[in-house]
Amino acid sequence: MNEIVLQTFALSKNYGSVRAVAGIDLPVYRGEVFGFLGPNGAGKTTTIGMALGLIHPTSGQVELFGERVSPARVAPLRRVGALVGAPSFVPRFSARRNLQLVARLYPGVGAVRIDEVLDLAGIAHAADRPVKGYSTGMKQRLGLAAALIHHPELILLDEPTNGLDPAGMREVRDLLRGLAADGTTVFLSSHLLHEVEQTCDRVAVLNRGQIVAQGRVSELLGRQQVVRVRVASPAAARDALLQSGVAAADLRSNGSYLEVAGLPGETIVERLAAHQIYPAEVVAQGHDLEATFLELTKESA
Amino acid sequence: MFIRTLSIERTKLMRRPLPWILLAVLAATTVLMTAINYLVLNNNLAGNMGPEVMAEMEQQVTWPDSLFSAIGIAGGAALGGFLTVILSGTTMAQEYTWRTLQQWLGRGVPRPLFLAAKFVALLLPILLMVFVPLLVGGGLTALFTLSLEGSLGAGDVAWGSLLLRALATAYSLLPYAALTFLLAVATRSTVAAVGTGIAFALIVEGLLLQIAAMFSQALARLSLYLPAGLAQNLLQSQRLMQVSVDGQPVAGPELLSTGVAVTGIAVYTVLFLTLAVVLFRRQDLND
Repeated sequence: MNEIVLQTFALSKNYGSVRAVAGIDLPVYRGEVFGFLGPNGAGKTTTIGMALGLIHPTSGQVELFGERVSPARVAPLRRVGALVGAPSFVPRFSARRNLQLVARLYPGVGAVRIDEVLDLAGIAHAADRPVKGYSTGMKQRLGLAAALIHHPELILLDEPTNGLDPAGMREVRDLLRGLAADGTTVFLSSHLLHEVEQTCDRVAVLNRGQIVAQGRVSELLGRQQVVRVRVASPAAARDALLQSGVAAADLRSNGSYLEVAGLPGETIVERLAAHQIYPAEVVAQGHDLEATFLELTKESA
Repeated sequence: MFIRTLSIERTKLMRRPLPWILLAVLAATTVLMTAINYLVLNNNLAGNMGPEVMAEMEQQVTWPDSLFSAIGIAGGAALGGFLTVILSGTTMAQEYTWRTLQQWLGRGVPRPLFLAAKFVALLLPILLMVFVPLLVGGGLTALFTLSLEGSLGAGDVAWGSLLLRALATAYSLLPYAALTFLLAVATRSTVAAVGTGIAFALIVEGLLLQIAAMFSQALARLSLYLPAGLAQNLLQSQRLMQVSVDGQPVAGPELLSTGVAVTGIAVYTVLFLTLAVVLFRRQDLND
């Protein structure tokens, strides 16, 4: 997982005086499911638009498979599948006809593959109905089918589960994990924290156009994890941890408990034991991505 | 890549109802106008019109001149220009309103290639816009000719000239298609592109020609270099080979040479398309 398939270098986009994306550096490695998390208006779609050569960066650049991409240089996009925003198709045409049109761009993609992706996306039953009668969720599924039609090495998905019911969301998540298992790199932009938490290997959190955190999901959760330690003397435990290099800001006394942020329970026990302090109870507080995300975006605001 | 994109664009264009509706309008108008002329002529409804008017009306409903007249409806300043603007503007602007540009450009189709394929795909319906009135009008007036004159006189038709005139008419529509393309890219709106295109083709250009003619000879000559002026000259030069009622070529006032007219139309078309490509390349295609 060392080859970088998508990389942004100090990528920025301004719309007049509004800075939509502010100098982001983002590596995405081959075979991973990368989560791009941020609240609405954070700059996720603009970043994807620049990666797809649809939007001109104000400064910085995007590389796909080591080649620069811009609206004037789009050759690497042949290896990419994408679903950006609400997917759009010729409304009067059926899903099958729309996919047949898309397939014409790729030699070797024929009727069999069209049937495969229709099936994969769960719209085979409605394949011959005009797209204009589709629900939002069905259009989303068709967009996913179109993104996958040419066996892309990298797929960029912007809110792919929009309009899907819970069962549909789960299907899409399973599909993405399956694609990653087969070697496809998945870039998943979403504001749905549980979606990213359940699907992605690594994640970048974007807020107001800036990346406020980036790393493995477990690392990000660990960074904000709080462990509650019950000891005979919280003050003595506090001193011991301060001496072992823990920052005062990461320690909080709470009655007979000491709360420690940013360290796993094993490390805390190890450090206290070095000072002959043995906790009676060690509880890792369940800190999910939602809490982490809210803290990160609050901090950066 | 170009051939594949062209094939996609051709399917997107021809598998939608719009071009066929426009062709049906053109065919229906041809039938209506020809039938009215025939009825007026055949029922002596134009009794108080002069013999010259009667002769002209007869020419319009009988072969061979009726074939040339039928093409006239497809001209830039006539219904053909109007419908070309609608087709061209709608085809391009709807890519923005449907948000389908992202679908194609996000797959590595270069923007200039996409626009070129889209414009080339328009050539088939533009050709049909000329040949449909020719076939419909020709078929109908064949019946009228047989009814009025007893025989078709197909041998009198300058078929080569007729074909050239049809192609020249289609060619003269290209600047209007390209201009509307440019307007669609610039405004991203079907209404704005089609409205402005129609206003230019049917009102502004005609007014400019008339105003220029009123002011000075030099301005009038300059106005010949507008798309309508160039088209007029091109079609008049083709008409030199047209066979009139008495078998003599009908010569119109040829103010610019055919070469200048052909080149001028090409320059307008390429200029409008180039501007469309320049604008299109600079655009951000946001969600």
